[in-house]
Amino acid sequence: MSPSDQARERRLLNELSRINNDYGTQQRQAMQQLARTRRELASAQEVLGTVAHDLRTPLQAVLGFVEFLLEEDLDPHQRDLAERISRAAVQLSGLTDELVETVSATTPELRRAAVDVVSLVDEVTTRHRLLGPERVVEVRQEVAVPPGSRPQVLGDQARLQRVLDNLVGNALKFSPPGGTVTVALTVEGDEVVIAVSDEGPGIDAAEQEAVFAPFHRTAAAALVPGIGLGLTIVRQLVERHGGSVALRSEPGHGATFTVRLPALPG
Amino acid sequence: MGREDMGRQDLGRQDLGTWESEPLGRLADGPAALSSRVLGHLGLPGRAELREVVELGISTFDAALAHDAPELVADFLGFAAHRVAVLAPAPPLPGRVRSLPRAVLAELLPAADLAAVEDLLGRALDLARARRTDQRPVLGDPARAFLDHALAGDREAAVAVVLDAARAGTDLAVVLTDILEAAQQELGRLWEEGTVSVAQEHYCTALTQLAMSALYPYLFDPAAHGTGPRPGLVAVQAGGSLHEVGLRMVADLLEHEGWDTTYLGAEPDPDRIVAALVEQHAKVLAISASMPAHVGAVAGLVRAVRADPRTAGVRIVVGGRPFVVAPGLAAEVGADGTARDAREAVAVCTRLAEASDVPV
Repeated sequence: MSPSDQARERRLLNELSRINNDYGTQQRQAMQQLARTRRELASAQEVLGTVAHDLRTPLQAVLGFVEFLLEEDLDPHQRDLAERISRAAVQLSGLTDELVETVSATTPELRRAAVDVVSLVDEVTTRHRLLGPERVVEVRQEVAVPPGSRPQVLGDQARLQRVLDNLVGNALKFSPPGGTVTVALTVEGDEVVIAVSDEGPGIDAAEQEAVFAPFHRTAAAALVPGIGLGLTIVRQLVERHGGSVALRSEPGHGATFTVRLPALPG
Repeated sequence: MGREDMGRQDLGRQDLGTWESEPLGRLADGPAALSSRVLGHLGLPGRAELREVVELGISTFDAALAHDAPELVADFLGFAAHRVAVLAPAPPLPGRVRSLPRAVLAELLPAADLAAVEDLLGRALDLARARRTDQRPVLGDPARAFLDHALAGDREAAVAVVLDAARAGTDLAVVLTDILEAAQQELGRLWEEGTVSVAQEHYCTALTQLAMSALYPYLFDPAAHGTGPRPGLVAVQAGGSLHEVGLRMVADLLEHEGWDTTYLGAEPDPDRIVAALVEQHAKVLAISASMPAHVGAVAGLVRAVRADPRTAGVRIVVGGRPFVVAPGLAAEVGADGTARDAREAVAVCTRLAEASDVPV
């Protein structure tokens, strides 16, 4: 190699090193920023969790005392006011519960054990069937697994129950009177698949990703209680179990949320 | 920052600019013009790699003269003896080095300046004779495996050595220092003795950087160290050197120790560095220089940080080869401390953070 070729080679190598260094610096800076954002988020969640927790105690007092009040001999105007306080307190209690759940969904540890998915689906659907007296919505269960098999996933029983509770609760909220909410369980390859369908107004394609974002509320959701964290919790918990959640919906034709979780080898 | 043998590979990555020292600053020509005369006096051929060695020697001598640090020249002479023996068919006799100033500079410099140059060279030659040579790093099996795969061009296998260690639960500080830093140190030695080419050295260094990036999911674990306050560090490479691995390793180790680190790489603008210190509420600024010619840039940056009232309380640690061979330079450039390797840098930064006036 001639001296000029050597010099050219060195220049090229140096240029490559410079590009590589610049890339490495930018990559590390992006990681630094991501780490800071995550820490800030965790810190905000800690504060949020504490606040929500601290709100619960006085709220329980309000709920309890207003109940006592409603048992008293009140005139119609007083009763109307007390009932309004009661409804507002119940709503506020639901919101704080949702906040506490959001924070707990992102806390580090999952208590993993083998979870029987057929029992899980059965428990959740039965409970929602019993708990939905004010609107007539059928909660139906469709279990299609090989005869005699009991598919299992490795997961946190309480958190997986929360996933299904949120999905079924959500489906019930948006179902019209006389509608049906279906919880279908199947096994596809090495995955357990749980699909929750409703016959509600559906979700526009443009909004289908956004519904999983924290505090996102669709136009239809403005009419029902909630603060827009239920589906965020679902996605966080499912992903922490190594699974995925997908939404299929057409406006006017209901919505189906499909959860896929890795099955335990059976 | 970084181990003693990290940094020489910057040879050939330098840009000879202007003189830093007063005596050589009186020369009419710049450093580049002197290299041909030096090569001629030493009886060396003008091939590119030898010219680079000589140019490094000239810039080192200039910095040593500017900071009265003959250790820098002594260190260079030890390296040059190895390197020239590899590159030149007939290495110059030792006497030719001692007579260099008179032969090359006598007609160009006043007598007092020439005497200053000869005095520094004399002290450097005395130190070089007393220096211990052939310090071979001790490589553990994973470091050896990483380097062997890297030298064989097997990127996946090299990175797998590091990731396997991390997955097996090896402390990240051990992975970074005992595998990657140790391998990088050995790489420098192999290059110096002519066993690996410049291209191989660049490739292996890039693989070390890749392996460090592969450790990020472990390093930037949001669950580690909780959400409490963290001492801030800003790390910057002085003088635009391309040899950044050592400094990045220090930043990574401190991140692992629960610091909030900001790695700026070869950021040349002091205003941006000061801005980063302010923005991150940094307690410590780590500056690394891989070559003697960059010591002046370190001193300039220290002055800029001290002069700004917003960053006057920030503690400054300096590192890199010039500070390893001449630790007294740290105080001379106005720093609060120096470290020989990444582990020591962590200890020094921790001590300095405790003494810093910047609140967390």
